[in-house]
Amino acid sequence: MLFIRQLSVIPKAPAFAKFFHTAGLVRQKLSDPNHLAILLQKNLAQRNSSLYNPELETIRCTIFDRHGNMQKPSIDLRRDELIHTHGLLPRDLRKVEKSRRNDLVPSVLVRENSILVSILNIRALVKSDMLILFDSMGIKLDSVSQQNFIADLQLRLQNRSGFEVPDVVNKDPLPYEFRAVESIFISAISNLNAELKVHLNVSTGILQDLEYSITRDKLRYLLIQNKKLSVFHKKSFLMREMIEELLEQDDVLCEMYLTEKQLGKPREEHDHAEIEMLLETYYNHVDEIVQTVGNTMSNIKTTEEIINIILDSNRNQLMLLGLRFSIGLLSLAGSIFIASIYGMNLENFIEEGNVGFPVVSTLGVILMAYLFAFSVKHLHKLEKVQLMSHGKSSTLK
Amino acid sequence: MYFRFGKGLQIQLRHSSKAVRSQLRWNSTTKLIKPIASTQHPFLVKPVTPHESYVSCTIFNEKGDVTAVSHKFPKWEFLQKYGLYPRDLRKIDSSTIDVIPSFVIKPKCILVNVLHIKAMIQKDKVFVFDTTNPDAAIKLGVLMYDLESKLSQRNINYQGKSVSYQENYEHRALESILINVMTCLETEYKYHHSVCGMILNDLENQIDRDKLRDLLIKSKTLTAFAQKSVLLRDLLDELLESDEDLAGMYLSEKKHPDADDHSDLEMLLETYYKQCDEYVQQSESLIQDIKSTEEIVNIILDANRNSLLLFELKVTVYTLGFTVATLVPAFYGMNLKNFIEDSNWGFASVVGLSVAAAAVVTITNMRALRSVTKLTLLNNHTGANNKKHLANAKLALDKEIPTFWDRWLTSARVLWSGREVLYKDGSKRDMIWKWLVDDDKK
Repeated sequence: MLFIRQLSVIPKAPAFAKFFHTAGLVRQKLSDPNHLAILLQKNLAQRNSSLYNPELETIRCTIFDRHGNMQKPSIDLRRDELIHTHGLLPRDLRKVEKSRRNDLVPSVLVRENSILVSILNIRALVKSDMLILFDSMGIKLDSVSQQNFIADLQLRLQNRSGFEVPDVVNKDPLPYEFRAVESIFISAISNLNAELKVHLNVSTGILQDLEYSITRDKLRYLLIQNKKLSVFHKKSFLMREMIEELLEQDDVLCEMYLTEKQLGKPREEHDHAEIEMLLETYYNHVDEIVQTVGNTMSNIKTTEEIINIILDSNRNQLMLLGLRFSIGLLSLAGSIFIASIYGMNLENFIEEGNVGFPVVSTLGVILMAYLFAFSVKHLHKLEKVQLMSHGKSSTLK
Repeated sequence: MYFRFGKGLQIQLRHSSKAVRSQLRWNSTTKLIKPIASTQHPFLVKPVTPHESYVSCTIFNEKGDVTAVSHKFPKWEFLQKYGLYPRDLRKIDSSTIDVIPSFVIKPKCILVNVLHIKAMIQKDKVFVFDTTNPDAAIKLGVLMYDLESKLSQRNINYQGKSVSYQENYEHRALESILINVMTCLETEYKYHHSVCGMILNDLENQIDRDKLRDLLIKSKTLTAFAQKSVLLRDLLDELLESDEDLAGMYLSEKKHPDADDHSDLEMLLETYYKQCDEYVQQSESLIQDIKSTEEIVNIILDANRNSLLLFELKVTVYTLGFTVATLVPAFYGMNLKNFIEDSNWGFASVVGLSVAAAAVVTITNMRALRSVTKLTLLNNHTGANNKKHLANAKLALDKEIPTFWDRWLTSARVLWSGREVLYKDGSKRDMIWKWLVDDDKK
């Protein structure tokens, strides 16, 4: 509960207001078909210039050489250089564009002599003797996860153990490209795991809090958390799908043996046990994450339903109580009515009699009692009908 | 002969025939290209009125130049000339409703019908059919520029020497169309994303019936968009599955239907398949967001109704108390002889009696209200008999319906020491928030 309350101070930066402003403008503009077309043309012009005039744009990348040494500092490569030296097509580089930073769908594209990997926020070009890591993707280069990733990548590509043990033992038998791919997968999955942990913590906290009392604040956090979880689920689910699809395509898996292709001995079909095992391991990891997230999501769903039931039954109880009070009010009002009749300053013919007061008061009290008894009986009947609606439906009248 | 376009594009009309020129000059109703000073309406494909026996289209030749603008062919002749059947043109013709995109592969041409683009691609010509829809006409204008530049492109110069990744004419046309379609989808998605995202964000902060209605209306168009992109994705997927169709799409070099070598086309289509998939996934997640927002907003509204009900009940309880207090004075207010008129203690005792009765009734009723709320708080949860749970329920209860005594105590405290002010430790909260966000982004 503590951190939920803390969360409530979401920084409301002026950027937020700006966003509203621009969004409003966009909405206003888009109502006009002409503006829509202008927007479209702008997008297209940009796209085309990046597709057909590749020399105009540069991409910032970090390069690892054959021995796993990172070239420092990272350099700007021109698109056309990249395309022509590595035998790519211009459209292959679209995933690297800045505007696709928030893409959900991961992909592993296998080309003639390279593998283009785009998973979460890692975009890389893997070759048999080189790894190009595109770092124009808006990741903070000094973040912990990025540093871990680069260190791991270096270690793995150098293919040496950190200890003073004979190399033969610790050397990874996998070729360069698979080591790179594995490192990328490891980083991606550890990132997913970290995110999963945060999501799980936050959601279980909210759900537990909701057990005790239902307030608007908590429901709001549940909503925010729900959205985040569904995006995360989609992300991991798509990654699982991607790996599964890759595993099903024998020819693509064979194509991934870049080093052996380079040496002129491509793999036979069905002979790809190493990469298959590698991918399967990570498939299992991602599958676990997907299952856990799915579980949490269904938990949230169940909690939502339970909350609904609680609220409904609470409402019913309250309404019943309210009816009782109203019945009391009604009967009181009945006797007050009679009292008020005799309270008028008009001739009522019994003013001077001695029995007038006791008779009228008793009458009022009797009327009150009768009204109360009648209404309560009726209410009880209705309650009973609610519980067993069939069979005794005649009592409704 | 140079023309300057709205966005500063300059295109040389090298091979424009006399017919085109005269059309450009004289025919003001069907303009494709208009000289300078057209910043207001830079896209100049005009919608046509449909005609029974004519097909009207814009034609590009093998060099990417426009040879005819809104050229009208007699329908029958057109069909015969290009070996088509009337049914092939039906979708292109009477296209008031078209949701389902299609690629029809004929021996000599490919008929493309995706979103607003209806075109026929041959090995050395592209026919773009004119549309009757003014909105689509504007989008089609953008395609014209694009096709022109793309088709006229031979190869790309790289550091002096020309590098050829030669693509076939028909594939370049196809790619150009696909790029146009994808950009359209992207533009539309961005619009939906910004609008729906804004409303969803608003709803997180404040629930408003107007906003909910807005969201529902927007989610309708969003669903239509999702359906559109799903259909397009499925179409591309189907195309990629069937080798025969892929082979059929090589118009300039005939491939054997069984030939398995069409990796370049496959890669082309796959790229756009992936891209389309992206939009499908993104819009699906947006729809999911809207759905969960609706559900939770429902719950919030329910909870709100309950607290309204509770408040109403409290009001009723007090009304009941006052009514009880009114009852006895009402009887003594009657213009009848009541025997205590002349006594000194009558007034005080009647008032005292009625106030006491009112207090008793009100306190009893409040207690009933408390017990009902407490029961619902306790009974409907999993940890009903927990100590922690009991304490929590009591806390919530005290907050919702304080007891008579508690109320007196708090008001006395407020009177004595002024209203309590909750000090907010901003820096601490910021820190925790930062920690959460950082962890999230890792």
